[in-house]
Amino acid sequence: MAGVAADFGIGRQIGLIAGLRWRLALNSTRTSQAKFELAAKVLLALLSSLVVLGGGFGLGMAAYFVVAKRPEMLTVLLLIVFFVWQFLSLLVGALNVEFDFRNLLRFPLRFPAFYIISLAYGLFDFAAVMAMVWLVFIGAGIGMARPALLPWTLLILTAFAAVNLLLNRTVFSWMERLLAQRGTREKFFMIFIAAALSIQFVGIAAERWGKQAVPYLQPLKPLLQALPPGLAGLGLEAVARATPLWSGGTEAATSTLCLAAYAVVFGLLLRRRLLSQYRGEELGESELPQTVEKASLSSASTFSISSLTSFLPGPVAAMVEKELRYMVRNGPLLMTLVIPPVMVLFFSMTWTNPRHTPGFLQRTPDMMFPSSVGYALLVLAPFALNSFAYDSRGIQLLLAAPVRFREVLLGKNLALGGTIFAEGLAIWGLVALLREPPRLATVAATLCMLLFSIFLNLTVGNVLSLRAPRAFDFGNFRQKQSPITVLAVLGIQLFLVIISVGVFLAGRWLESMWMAAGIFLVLAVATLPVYSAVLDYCSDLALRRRETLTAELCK
Amino acid sequence: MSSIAIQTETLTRRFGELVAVDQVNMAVETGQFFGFLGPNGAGKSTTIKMLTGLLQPTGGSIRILGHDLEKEPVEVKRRIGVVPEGLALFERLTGAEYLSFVGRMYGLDRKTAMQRGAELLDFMQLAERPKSLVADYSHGMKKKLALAAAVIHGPQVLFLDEPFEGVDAIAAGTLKNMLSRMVERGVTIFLTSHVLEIVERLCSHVAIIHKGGIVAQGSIEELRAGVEARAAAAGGLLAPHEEGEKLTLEQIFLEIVGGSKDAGQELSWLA
Repeated sequence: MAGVAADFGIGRQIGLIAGLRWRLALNSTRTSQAKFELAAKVLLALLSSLVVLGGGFGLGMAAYFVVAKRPEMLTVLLLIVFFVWQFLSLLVGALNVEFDFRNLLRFPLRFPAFYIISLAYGLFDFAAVMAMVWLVFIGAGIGMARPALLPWTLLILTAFAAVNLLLNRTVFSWMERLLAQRGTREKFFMIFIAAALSIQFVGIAAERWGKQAVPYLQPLKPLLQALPPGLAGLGLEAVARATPLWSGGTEAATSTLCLAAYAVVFGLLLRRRLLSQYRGEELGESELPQTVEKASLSSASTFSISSLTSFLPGPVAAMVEKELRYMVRNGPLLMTLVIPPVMVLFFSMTWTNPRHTPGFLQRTPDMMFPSSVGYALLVLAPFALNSFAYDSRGIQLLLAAPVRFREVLLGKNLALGGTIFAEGLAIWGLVALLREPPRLATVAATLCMLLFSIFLNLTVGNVLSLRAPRAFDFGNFRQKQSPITVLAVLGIQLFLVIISVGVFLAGRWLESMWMAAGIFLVLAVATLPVYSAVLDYCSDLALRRRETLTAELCK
Repeated sequence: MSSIAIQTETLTRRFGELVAVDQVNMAVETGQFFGFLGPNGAGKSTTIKMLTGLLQPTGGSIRILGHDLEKEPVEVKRRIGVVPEGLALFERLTGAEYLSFVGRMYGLDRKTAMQRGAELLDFMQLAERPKSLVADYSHGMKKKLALAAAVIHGPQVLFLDEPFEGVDAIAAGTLKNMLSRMVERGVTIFLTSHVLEIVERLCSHVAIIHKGGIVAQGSIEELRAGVEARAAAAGGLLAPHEEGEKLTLEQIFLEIVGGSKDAGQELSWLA
């Protein structure tokens, strides 16, 4: 007999989705590579838990000490939690649009179940877990200091957590709509990175003009108190100051009610957004076709790129050109290139801040160039460790073409290495312009350090790009790297920082930067044959790993 | 030049316990338009991936135009063109940039690659939006571009995995004409498709793979004769067709892979 799918409860629907996620997680660990990645994930989770628990312990201790004598400081602690929950989650997760979540809508899912699942996604976000753990620590700190405050603390912090969760999901869902189109997404990320960069200057501005700005900022205080962290802080402060305790109850209850009102408003906004999705809102990539005309990069850059590669063998030149074209058409990647020069400006302000007591930085103006170049390396070198990330299905062409992967990787390496080197030269120009030209010996040492670091990163990167490839989506700033790559990035950068700082300090100590240049040059020259041998090894490795490459990159 | 363009001997591919392709022996002569058919999951894509070097066989050997793919991969790849399942496009290039890139990866000089790229774009009717990125192409346009990329270096053997899937009738007509002309000029084309009418119209020879093994191979006439002879021997149980009418490739296919056996089955709970 014909019929319709049976209607069943929301609880069962949510249970089914939870079961589905669990099954997906289990199935994703079937291959040995996936098991290795799981182990790396566990290791990263352990490292992350140190940050979470360490931060939580610090906040808990702070809550313990301030609740008796300076309870108004509780607001500051809650502000930290608020910023982590709202902004860190944006950095880590929001930039990856959750299309899979809406795929559930093809099933006869009831709206309340859809709503609850959306909230559950928010609860398992890393930033949310961290913020909640921190809230537990803050609550424990207050409870240990004054056990009588525990009921009010629990109530207020729970309301605060609910507001955060709902706000976070509301922002996420609106962002998802905003970022659905590739063009908008790229523009947004460029603004986002620009904003993140400008935050670097807030500290300097606060230090220089902080005291003068205080009178102007005073009117903002009531506004801050009207925000969720301010309200929660006021409620906790009221009960902490009250003697007898119950006399602070009215203010605490008012704060809790205000938080509840926030929760209702955010909950309704979220409902509105999710209802649109539930009713089948299309959030595709569809938009006007993007042309390269707008960026006016095509013809002009074709000429300049071609002239740059004219001395290279055909396939290598073709790879270099393709890589450079991909770079100029990748907004977030371009913004990443802008970060180091902006940081030079930042360093230059820090180096010259008259209010600072002369510290290492003031006493060592010559170190500005190597420090800035080192920063550029930290930002840009990780791109070498997953060099097929943006190639996606194009990897099939590289595998099918009559070229050895040595040539493919050489082309990619030349493009990235050349870009980093050009970035180093641009930084030199900026340093010379903003401060004074660094000494020749320092320039030589820095460029040799750069050479050594590039070779090392490319050597390891070529192997990792083939062993742990991950496809990246254009327009997303934060991408999910393989945990193996994340660990490798940490390891290599730590190694390079230790070596570089050691050699530069030795050069300064012995007052011979030429010696430092010599050491770096020897290291670079020693790495070169290893790099070349690894290129050959990678040609065979690519053939052996072609299934993994296509499986990962063609997802 | 060898008269056998593609030859496999005991070609095998295992994925763990699963034997996706099992001891396949196949020979495709130079200049043939060869259709490689099979039901879903039969091993078509796995075979074509192995033939084009995108997947390593677990056992057996592949010779393309007399060259051993395992021992001389670059020599083989120089002579073949591929439109793989995923199309292998670099979506952040324009069509012209992509074709120029592919041409140079296949050893053409810059000028020739650009010139041929422009001609191909024009031929495939993709020249109208020269500055659009491949990412903004429709599925059919991407298919045409992938085919253009597969032929830019003038391959002697062309491997096409479902080239007509998602392509409109006009574009399909253009592609069919181009492929037919290539075969007339001596190019060997190895094609997989689920659209059996197209295979019947284009291909002179076919092989049918089922559960990892080749179950039939030869010209369409040979297959037809084989199926009819088998049916006659079994008491005339053939798929229904008009008296005097030839069996279509679809009927031959269903007879060989046994698809018609389940035609009468029903799911009682469906409307």
